Amino acid sequence: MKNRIQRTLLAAAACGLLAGALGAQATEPTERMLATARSNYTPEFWKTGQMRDGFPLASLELAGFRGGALRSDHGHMSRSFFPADAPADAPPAFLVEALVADSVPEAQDALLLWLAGLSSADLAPRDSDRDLSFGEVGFVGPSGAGAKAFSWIAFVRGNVAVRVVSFDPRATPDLDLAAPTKAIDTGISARAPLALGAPVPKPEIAKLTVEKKAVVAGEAVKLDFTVVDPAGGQPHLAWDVGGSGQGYVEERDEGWFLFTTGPGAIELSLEVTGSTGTYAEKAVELSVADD
Amino acid sequence: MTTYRRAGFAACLGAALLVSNAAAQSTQATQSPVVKRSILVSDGHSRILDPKLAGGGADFAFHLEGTGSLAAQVRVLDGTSPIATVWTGTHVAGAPPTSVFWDGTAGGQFVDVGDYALRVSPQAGPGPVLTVPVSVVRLGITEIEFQDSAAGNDEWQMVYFKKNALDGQFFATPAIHEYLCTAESGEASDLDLDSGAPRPAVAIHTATDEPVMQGTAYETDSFNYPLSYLAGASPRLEVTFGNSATTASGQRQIVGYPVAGFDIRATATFSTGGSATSGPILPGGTATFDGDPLTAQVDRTEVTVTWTWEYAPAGGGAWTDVPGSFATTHRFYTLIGAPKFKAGASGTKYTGPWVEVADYLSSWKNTLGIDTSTEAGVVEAHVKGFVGQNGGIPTAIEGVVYDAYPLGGDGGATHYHSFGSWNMDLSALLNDHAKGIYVNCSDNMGATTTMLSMMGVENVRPVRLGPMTLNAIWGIGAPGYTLSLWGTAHSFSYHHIVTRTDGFSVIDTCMQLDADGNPGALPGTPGWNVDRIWTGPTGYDDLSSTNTVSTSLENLPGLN
Repeated sequence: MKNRIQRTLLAAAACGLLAGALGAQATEPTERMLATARSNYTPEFWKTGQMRDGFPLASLELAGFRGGALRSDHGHMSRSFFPADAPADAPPAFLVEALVADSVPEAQDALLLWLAGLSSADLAPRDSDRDLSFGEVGFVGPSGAGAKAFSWIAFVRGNVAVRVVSFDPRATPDLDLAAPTKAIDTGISARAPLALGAPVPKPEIAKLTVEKKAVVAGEAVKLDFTVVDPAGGQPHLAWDVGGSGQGYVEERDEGWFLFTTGPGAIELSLEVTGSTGTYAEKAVELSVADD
Repeated sequence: MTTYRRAGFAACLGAALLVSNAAAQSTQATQSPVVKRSILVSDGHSRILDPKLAGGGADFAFHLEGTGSLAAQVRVLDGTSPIATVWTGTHVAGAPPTSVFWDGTAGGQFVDVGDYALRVSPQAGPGPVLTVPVSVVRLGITEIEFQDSAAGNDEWQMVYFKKNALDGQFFATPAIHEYLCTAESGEASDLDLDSGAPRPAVAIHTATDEPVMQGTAYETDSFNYPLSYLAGASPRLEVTFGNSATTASGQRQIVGYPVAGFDIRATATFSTGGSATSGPILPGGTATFDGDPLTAQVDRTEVTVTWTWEYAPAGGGAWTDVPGSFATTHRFYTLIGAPKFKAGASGTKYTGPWVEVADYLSSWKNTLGIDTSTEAGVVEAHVKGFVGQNGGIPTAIEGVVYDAYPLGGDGGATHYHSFGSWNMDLSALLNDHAKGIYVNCSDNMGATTTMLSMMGVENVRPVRLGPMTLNAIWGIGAPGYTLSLWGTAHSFSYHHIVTRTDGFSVIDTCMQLDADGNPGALPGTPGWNVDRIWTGPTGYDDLSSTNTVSTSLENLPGLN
């Protein structure tokens, strides 16, 4: 039970004061969580590594596993990995999440936000506490499913933040999550460091145009775009149809088209995650009249 | 809504009698000696027919006036050529009328659209003849655009979140036509198959995660997507009528109307009891119909619309049924309010409620028997359904489990909510928990705030709580109450819950509190956190923890 003073305060809140107080305290949660995590995990003492051009998660191959399709939310990448011999409808063994940041502190912030999400009052153990070493700084999430099982392992190598998450440790208590994590870290380490002060190379959207700027709902609009991948690889493309208008983008034999399905203004964004995991986007606008 | 009284095909009687008498007069000189001074009289017929409607064809009734009897037949004439015999038999003067029905076929195949005649004549030799004209047309619907009711702004497109089994791929149901039934690429016409048989109505798309696909691309010719309306709204249907049909030989043909001298109109009869009728229609044209009010509950309902047509002399006169009908069935999800999303958010995922979310809510509502005609009811259905393990819902949503060591997880890591982007990866969660089976409080907060908001609940926001020394709790997906959440320790560094009253009351789908009057000890008694008041002895603050808990109101997350 709460103490008497607190009860008095709470009684006032019950009269409607709390609502106003909380409403006035609406905050930017990300900064608050980062501040708490920085206080708990003291990143100012973390080692920092060299900047690299990226992490090719989309083409990552891990022995014994089959990778699924890449997902990218504005450069926040994720990709599931399945046991190589598992049937097509089997659940994944683990998920790899990664961010290729523009700087080491930005990558460290990504790691801090993963750590900040932990509900337990105990801090996450360092990888070294379990005789493991990933990146310049790493943490592990020991799982209750087995003596050596991990729920997740997260680390930062230079400007790359990675978290490897076991899909269901209960189902795979013997999964050696450290092995693929080590392979990932080794792969990042093997990439040539960037020259001091050099920016992280990103995909370039050299051109993005629409065939027509004003159409009637139901029309297909041909798209013309040019993307240059920083490593000459295969970039991952995603399209976002913003605004009050509606539609979707698909590729046909004749090229890429925006198929409009509802009237309004459309801001069509091309979101490109390069083969090295860096990100760029560009938008074009058009108007769609009612049919 | 327009109501009307149907006029049966007997309305054609006056005109048909003229035809009959004229025919009788024209044939009087060649009457059979067996039926001296007898004439055939029409009792009405279908002037316009579409044999490809369910039950479609032409009714025709007639009788013999005078004396004696007549061995007669009813044949279908294409110009002057008989193409089918509809009936043979013997008429007896003074007997009740004979009713026959032509199903619009000849030689086992549907005839082409156009003008034909039905002729009653002696089976052999001279005698009275009665000829009536009929027009074969093709009536049907190719598109339905569901629109706001007359009240306005109460219909929204629905959103799917998967494509080719990959989540995070968003598709909004087309605003220009949620129902589409047209030719596949290469087919001859919209209203018929290449065999000449009528194209069947498109069944409701019942998948809740992925839209209709054709191979790896979105289907563009044929679909029947669910609709989303404000609870109690009356859907408005803008219907497009087909303008192409197919002959029995597989060739494209016109639909055969307008028919000179006649208007045609359409009626929508809703399985909910009402009906609405259009003005005169044209091939390729549109008409608007208002349906009955939908349920006042947040729910999923299905409504069948039976489409029928009538004709009347152009410029006025009684309307007569075109025999037959065509039925379409539509799925409606009703919301408690307009869907709400993160301020300033833009993109397909914010177009309207996600089908899977709306389907979950309706399923929970019906399984648990909860009245969802109020926001409080919607919240109750969401909390009890999301958490599950009660009332016929055996597991938590998508089978997730709270991330704690004793449950096989670890220290309550976030899997689906991103603090960096302040987005909830709801599509991954709904895709068989694609980012792992474990969730923590921020994941549940992210799911609950976004799901309730897209169902129209007002002002749903996260509340971040500071460190908590916990009482007995039951985490989502856990087997029961515990006083050692982490195996030994039993506290939170923070906790994320939800409010729709700026913190006066709170919602928590991550854990249940112990409401047995002794919250610090086992066993526990479930106390659902459905708009639980924050303060007081049964309030969230007292039941959840023993320390002073700080609170911070946050903004609605975005979506992935």
